[in-house]
Amino acid sequence: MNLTLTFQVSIYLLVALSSIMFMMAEEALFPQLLTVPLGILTLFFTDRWEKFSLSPLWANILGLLAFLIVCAEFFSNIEGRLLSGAHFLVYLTWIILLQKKSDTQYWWLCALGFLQIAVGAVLTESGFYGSMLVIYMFLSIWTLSVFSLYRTRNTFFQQKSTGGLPRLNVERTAVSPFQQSSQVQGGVQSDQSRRWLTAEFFWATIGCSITALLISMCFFLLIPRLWVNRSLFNNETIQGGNKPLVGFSEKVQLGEMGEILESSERVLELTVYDDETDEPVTITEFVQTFGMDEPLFRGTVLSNYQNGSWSKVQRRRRRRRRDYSDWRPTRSKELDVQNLYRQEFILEPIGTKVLFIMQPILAMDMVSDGDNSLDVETSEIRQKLLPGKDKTTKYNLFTAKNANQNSEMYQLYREDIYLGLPRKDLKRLIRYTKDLIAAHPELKTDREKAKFIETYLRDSGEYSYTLNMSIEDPTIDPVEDFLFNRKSGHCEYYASALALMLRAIGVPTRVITGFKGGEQKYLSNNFEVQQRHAHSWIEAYLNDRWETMDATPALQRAEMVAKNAASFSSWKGANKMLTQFWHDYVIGVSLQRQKRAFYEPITRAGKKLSKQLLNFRTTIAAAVKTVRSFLSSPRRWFSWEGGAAVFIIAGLFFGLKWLSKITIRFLRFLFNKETDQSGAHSSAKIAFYEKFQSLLAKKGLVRSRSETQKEFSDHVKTDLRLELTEAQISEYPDQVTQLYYHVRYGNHALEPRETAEIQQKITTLESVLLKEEQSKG
Amino acid sequence: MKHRLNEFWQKREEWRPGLVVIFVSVFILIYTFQAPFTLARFHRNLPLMLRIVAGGTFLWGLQHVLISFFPKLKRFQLKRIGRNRVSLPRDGLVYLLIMMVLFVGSVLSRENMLMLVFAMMTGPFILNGWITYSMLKNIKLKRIIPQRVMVGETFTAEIILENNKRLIAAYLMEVSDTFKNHDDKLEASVVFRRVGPRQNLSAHYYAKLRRRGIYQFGPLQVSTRYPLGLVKRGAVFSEYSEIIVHPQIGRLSSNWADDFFSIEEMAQQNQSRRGVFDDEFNHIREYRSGDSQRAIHWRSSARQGELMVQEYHQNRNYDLIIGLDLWLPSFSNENQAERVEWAISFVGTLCREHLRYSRDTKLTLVSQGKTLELLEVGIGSMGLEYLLDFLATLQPGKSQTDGEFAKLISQMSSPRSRTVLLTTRNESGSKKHNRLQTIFEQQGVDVHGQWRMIEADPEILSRWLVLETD
Repeated sequence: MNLTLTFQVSIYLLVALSSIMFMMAEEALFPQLLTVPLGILTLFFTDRWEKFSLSPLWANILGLLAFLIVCAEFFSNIEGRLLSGAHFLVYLTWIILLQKKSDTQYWWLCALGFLQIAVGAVLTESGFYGSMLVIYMFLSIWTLSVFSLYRTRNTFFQQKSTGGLPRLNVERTAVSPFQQSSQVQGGVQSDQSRRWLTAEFFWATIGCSITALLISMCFFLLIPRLWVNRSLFNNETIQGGNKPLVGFSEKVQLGEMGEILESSERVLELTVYDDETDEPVTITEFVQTFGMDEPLFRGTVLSNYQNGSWSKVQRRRRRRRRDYSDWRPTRSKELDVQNLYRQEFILEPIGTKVLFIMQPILAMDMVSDGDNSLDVETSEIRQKLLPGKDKTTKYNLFTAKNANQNSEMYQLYREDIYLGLPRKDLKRLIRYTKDLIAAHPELKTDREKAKFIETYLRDSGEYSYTLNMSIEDPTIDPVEDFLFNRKSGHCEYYASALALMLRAIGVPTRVITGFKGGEQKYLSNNFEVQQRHAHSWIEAYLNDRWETMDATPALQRAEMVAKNAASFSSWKGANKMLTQFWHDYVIGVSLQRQKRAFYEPITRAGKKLSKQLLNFRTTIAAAVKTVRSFLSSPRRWFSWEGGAAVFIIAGLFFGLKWLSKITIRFLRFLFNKETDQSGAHSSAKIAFYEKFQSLLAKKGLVRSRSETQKEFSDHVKTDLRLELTEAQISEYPDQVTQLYYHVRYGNHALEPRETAEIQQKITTLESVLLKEEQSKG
Repeated sequence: MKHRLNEFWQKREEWRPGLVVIFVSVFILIYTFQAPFTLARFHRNLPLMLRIVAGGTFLWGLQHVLISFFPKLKRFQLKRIGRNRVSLPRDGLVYLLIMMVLFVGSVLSRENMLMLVFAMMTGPFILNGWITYSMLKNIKLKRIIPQRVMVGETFTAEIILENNKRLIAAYLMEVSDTFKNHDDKLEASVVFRRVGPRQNLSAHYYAKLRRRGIYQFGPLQVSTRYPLGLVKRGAVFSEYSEIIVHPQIGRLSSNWADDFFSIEEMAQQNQSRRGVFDDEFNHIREYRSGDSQRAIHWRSSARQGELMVQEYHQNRNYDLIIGLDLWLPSFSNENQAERVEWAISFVGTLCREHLRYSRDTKLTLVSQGKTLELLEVGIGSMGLEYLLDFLATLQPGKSQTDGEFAKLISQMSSPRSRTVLLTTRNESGSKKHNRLQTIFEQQGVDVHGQWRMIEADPEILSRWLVLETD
């Protein structure tokens, strides 16, 4: 394959892809779309055939022009302000495309592409863009790799063509042969194939791309989302963990909820188990058992309506009856009912003490630290202390399988509170409700009337569901505004309207805020409730007990909720999973989520490991027990456990083998008594020979490893023949070597006479060699 | 009993600081766990930071102690990283800048998508650094060059790259080699496309050196930017070697023989006796009229049946003495430096021609450069090589020639020898006392036999010396 062509095509593809992605993100055709045909044209006319290219002057002029256009765009409108910078990138890309390209230009094309991609990422959040991003990354790694090859080849080929070996030319001849400068010419590895693009290169690049993707993913998931406080830059306050989530404080302003209804932040996670078997039960199954359509997570109970805001009852009684606050839900230990479901909740820190419950329930255990209390009147369960900023709260709820065994809500201590109505503000509402009921004389009981109003609001088609919170008439009560002017709103309005209308006809009601629905997570197998599932409904006191009523059009709400989640397409399964994944692990990554998904498991595993290591005995005992139980049931041998066991055992075996080898070596090394003698055996330790060698090393004569001492001595004799004969010591090397052999292999101890003699000889040799050196120097 | 433990004890000076560091860091570490709240009063993250610092110093101390205990561990030390040189090429810088902008942007805008793009850029960047690092591990470089070359001669240097890794191939390894003389510095580079695992390959570069003398080669530097060109990492190999660059040897033009000795030779011939006793026997040939009767070889004539004569020819062998006076003033100009080179090249050429055409003669070179040297050159290529090595490293001197030079030449010369005196001094122009001629005259020494003094002026020498140019 031709390297230049491959490179050019790759880089043009990259440019085209980046502009297409930018185009998709911006959802506008101009100016990005133009990049593609321009790229094709310039590929052929500018790069391949070299017919046309922009001179630097023209490039500068065009650059200036582009800048002016961008300026004009900037001041035109607000949207343009955002995009003008991005469009500038596109214009620059065009200008560079039109120029004659060297490495620098090609690199700038890449860089501008990256920037366009980044701008595109700001403009969109779609999963499709994410998958394009992966493709883009693969392509850019390929392109950059080819670019490296291209650049290297060019460097070495240019050398060949221009530098080269000098040829005779007129100028050169004038210069004397001694004035010419030296020349070098680099080369390329010499092998049979002269090809740059090989199969190995291809596969290596693919390997690189996959590895890079993995590293990127790790980075993306693990970079802690410690967002800088935005209030540094504008006056917006950051939504901290301690600020209660709208709807779950003591007081709720109507309309506030709309904000969280658009958020996909997780609020709680839930798994339901059969308490006896510990088998998980799906939420749908659970909900159907108790005759509901969707799970309702009951949170705050609000009963006091004033000026478009709901608040809790000020409990005056509390002071009088001190033990009132000491009520708490029944613990599971205290139950004598056997057939139970266990709901395991993990509640995110959303800044409220309220613990959400899925009714019906019988008992409740706190799993996290902290205590809870039960408001007997409203059946609201709260934590005594607000959990820490980053702490989740875990608790278990127990539901009897037999519906009749579960606790019921029937307490109505202060009826007046639940009938409270700001009559002055809501004249129209009261009259309207009374008229509505009067028009239907067939409705006898309170229950029938209540159901009628619920149905009227929900199913008459007169009211629609929306998250748009524009108020038409700010002078009147927002509920009246909803009922008579806008006729559209979200659950809060429906619930408020229903509650107030029922109060108008003498039915005690209270507004409940909580969550409705949620989604099954495919990856974690949990049921997850997000902020967008927030909901409010009412409870009406009918037939001596509190009954749940919901006037919100369920279908419309569900649609809206789904819209705020992900858009599902026809090929649901995989696509849904991908979308969920995209939303959970890309768009919705937050510090809390990261903590839960990565940091906490890691620290937990670390802690567990250290704990286990600390009580070594129990670990060993447990391991032995596990192994024994494993070995005693052959059925488990041929499962993944068996494979893992083999793996672990083999690993242990090799680890132990390695460890013992190291230990033995270490001990041997530590207690080696013969350090000195063993050292003496190596030639390096025979002092005179050592000196002899170092002396010769100065002359550049070094004994190679494969050379025996005898051979070395011969070698020395030939090399230093002149000097040695001159000084008449040509037999010295031989003598030294002979003595060395005696000492080294003959176990011959040097006598003092011999020592003196050899010392003398070496000194002579040294002086001869040094003299030589001096005379040279 | 002598244990290694004993040895360790004796080396306590070496490991004591390490041990102290270990203790201190352990103390800090324990303290951070004992009193995290006290510390947190200063800064919320102080305990954590202290733990990290303590961990780092602990490891450092441990490494110190271990190395003093087991010197062999040194080979596992991070020196391989140390010899690596990381640099960011311009592309990498731009890339890093974009990355940083994206990161800051994403943090400020709390935009996970921007963070995604940032992460996607980080991956390749880190991968690039990692790959370059791992590719440089376990490679070896070797250089093979000839020992001697001539000025202007193109030679090939072979660079061998040995990849000792088990799995990873080394891609796009750029090896650059520097070599320098005292006044010349060059850099050559070769590139290896791919050296597979456990493979070694060679690449060549060509060089043509223009300065005589010894060129020092090395160290070899290898660097790679593969695959993305964003991070460049290099390693240095202390692979040193040297090459002796002989002065350029040309050939003597026919002018030399004409100008220099022929006239005198002819004059000499006239004087000398001719005939059988003259010089050396050459061959036997048929009698031509005019041949001396004394030259007839009777035995051959009888065998051949016609008159044969013994022909002698004149013995051209003479002992050559070259007196090379390499003088270069301390503030020399280009011309003077060139004279030196011309002189050396000329001497080299002269010696080679002499050694090629004469047998059993002595060639003596007396040179006065930085030092006074006397060189008696033997016959054959070894002798020539030795002479050229000598010429290659000959340095000009700036000193006034003292009498030693002249005396030595006069000692060496004999009536049968011929002497060429070559000087780089300006014999005609410069001050009189700075002429070789003057020096000889002053010393009052005689040069026996024929002799001639030549000034190493390029114009003069180029008449006799023909240098190959390309």
